[in-house]
Amino acid sequence: MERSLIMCGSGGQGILLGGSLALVAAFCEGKKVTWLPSYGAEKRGGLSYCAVVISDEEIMSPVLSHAECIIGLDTIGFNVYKGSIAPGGAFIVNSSLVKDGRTLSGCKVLELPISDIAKDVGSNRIVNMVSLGIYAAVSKAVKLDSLKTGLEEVMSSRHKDMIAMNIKALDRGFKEGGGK
Amino acid sequence: MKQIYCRPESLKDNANSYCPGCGHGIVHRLIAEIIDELGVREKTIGIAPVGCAVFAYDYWNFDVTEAPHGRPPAVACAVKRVLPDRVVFTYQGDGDLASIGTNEIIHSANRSDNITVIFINNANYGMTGGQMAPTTLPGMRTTTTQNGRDVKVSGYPVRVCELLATLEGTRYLERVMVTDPANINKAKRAIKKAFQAQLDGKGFSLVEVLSPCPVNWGKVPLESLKFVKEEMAKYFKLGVIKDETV
Amino acid sequence: MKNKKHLMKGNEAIAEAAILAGCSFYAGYPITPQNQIPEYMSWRMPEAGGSFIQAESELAAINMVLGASVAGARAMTSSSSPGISLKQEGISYMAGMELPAFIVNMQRGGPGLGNIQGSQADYFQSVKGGGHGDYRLLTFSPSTVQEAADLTAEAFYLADKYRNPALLLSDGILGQMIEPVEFSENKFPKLPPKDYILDGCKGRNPRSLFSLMMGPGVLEKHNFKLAAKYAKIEAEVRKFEEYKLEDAEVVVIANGIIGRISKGAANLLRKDGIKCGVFRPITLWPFPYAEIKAAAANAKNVLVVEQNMGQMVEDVRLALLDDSKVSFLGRPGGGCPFPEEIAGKVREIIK
Repeated sequence: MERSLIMCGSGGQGILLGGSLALVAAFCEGKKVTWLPSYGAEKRGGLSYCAVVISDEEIMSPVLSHAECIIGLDTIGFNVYKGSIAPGGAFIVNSSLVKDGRTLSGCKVLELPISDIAKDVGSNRIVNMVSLGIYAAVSKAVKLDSLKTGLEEVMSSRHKDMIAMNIKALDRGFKEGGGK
Repeated sequence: MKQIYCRPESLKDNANSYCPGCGHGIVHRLIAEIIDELGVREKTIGIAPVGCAVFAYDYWNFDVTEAPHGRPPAVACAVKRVLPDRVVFTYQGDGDLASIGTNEIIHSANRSDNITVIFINNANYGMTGGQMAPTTLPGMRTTTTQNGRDVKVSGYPVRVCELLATLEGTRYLERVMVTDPANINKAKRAIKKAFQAQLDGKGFSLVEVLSPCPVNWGKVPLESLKFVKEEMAKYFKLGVIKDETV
Repeated sequence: MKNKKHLMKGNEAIAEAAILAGCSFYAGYPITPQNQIPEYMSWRMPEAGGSFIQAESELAAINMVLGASVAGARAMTSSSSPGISLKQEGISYMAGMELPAFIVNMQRGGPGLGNIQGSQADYFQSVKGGGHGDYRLLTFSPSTVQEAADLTAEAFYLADKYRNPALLLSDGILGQMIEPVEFSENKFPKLPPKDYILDGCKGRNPRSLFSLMMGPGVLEKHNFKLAAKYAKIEAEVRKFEEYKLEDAEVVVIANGIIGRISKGAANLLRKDGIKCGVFRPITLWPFPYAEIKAAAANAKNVLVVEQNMGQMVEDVRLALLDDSKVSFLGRPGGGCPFPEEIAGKVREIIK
């Protein structure tokens, strides 16, 4: 079975890191995986996006016309990808920043104040981790434990002190997403 | 009987194709003598330019490669990095080094590539028939400046040594001319010093040689020598421009 | 690094595969979307005992590769479309001087500065002679990160074997995407020592390397010699993938990442009972003309899909010598077709 995730928002929100954590987690579970980022001229601000495909079989297309799950972390990402949700898919909307979540149709919509939750956990910089916790709960495409294991690998050495807070963010997101 | 003059081992027994009165033959021989004297013939790799000296491998009796126009410093840089214990030098004309290859020579000098550059300045594009070079003097006639180089149209002659002297990476820069025995001896000392600098691991060295091109200048050889001494050497000052080898 | 799966970007996997293939010299100049190659090489190459140089320009970089190859090193450079245009000078010289080298083009949209999205618009440049003169370039088109790594190793081997530059023609998508990759042991036969390199004439006669051949008939003779070499390569090197072709009524022909996406399209179509297969050329030169002809012999329709407005399709037409079967889907300027779009085009042409 092939699972697909689009994570989108703005540069600086940790979109690429978040997507690569999903990739590493699924890889650790023995899955075939691809991760494809958007790459632009600017380092901060502007659309940021990545597409993750997780599968038991050979992955044909790393590019996605539609994803079964989309995490929209701000309006820039949401507006570009709101039409890219597969029928019956799950759209995780950061309602702290995106007010148009209710305009979505034909899919499951989870509006959660991800930025506020992140701040509550400890930092606005961990919206990506909160959203991945939600993703694990909602999609069951990756296990929460695999995400935690993958953290060591994706965090650069100068941010290792952040791991504890990231784990808290994953746990909190998982709970908010209804995971048990 | 004692032999006091012979063909250096580093020079092949081939007649060269240079025009009568041309300076290339003199400089080729000087390089060959120096390579012999330093005992490095079997570990020398020369990089020939595009221009009159493109066939240098027919004359030198050691390994020589051709390089695209202006790129000998890039080629030499790589050869030296791959084979750091070999002697690597480029031999370039003014079109090759000071026009199409300015980027390569500047950055090779700036990296202080441990190579030796022999730069032949004869103030025109010899091989292609005497067009204006970056070193053509103001007012000098060439096939593309038929009324003389107009600096308002074509700018000014480039003084390569002075330009490179501002770069931290250059270790030894000298300008010489091959017009008469005394100056040819001076040129030999300068070129030998440039090779010695490489053997001592000093970094980038370049010797600029003011050299006659009688055929393209429309002068007989003797007049050409006079032109080098009296006109070229006035604009391109002779002597050591920079020496950080000690 | 060997015999263990790693998650790596295509660009990084190519760089590591080059190191493991014995590449000891890299020179390059920054350009998106291939920057991870020089970035990776900048620390990995010195660690492996080789030389890394950030060159002052693409021109300098390719000529440094030429120099390193003259001196006998396995040498490489990488760039993206506009930078590869600049490198054509050195590529032509190396073809003429019969110097091996490995060149990576992570194609981006063009012409001109274009954009930085994936593209296949440099097909003509790569296989029809981007530089001047009558020469050929071994050209490989990978569709996965694993294949990019494997082809890198093979390209170094074949470049040395035939004394010819080799090109990995990929694109921004493969360069930027992460996939698992495993580096295997070098499986290629040992090649004889290089008897043409310049390393000082100790114990032998001096050598020279050049591409200027002015004597009467000398260059013509050299061109005949090169042509004979190219014919030998065409006879000996040809790589391609055939996917679900046995019963295919529609054959999609696409290379690189588009070939892979086309396999996804074939699977979508087969779910609806449409017998679609994919032929994916892996070597673009030599181009698998005969194999394409055979693959399409029993098909009613052939669809060529490219990220350009029709380049490889000309070679497919040459292979088939039958235009009536051939349709084309092109997405230029960084556009990339999804499997659904390719499947849609197939449905349209079989109507």
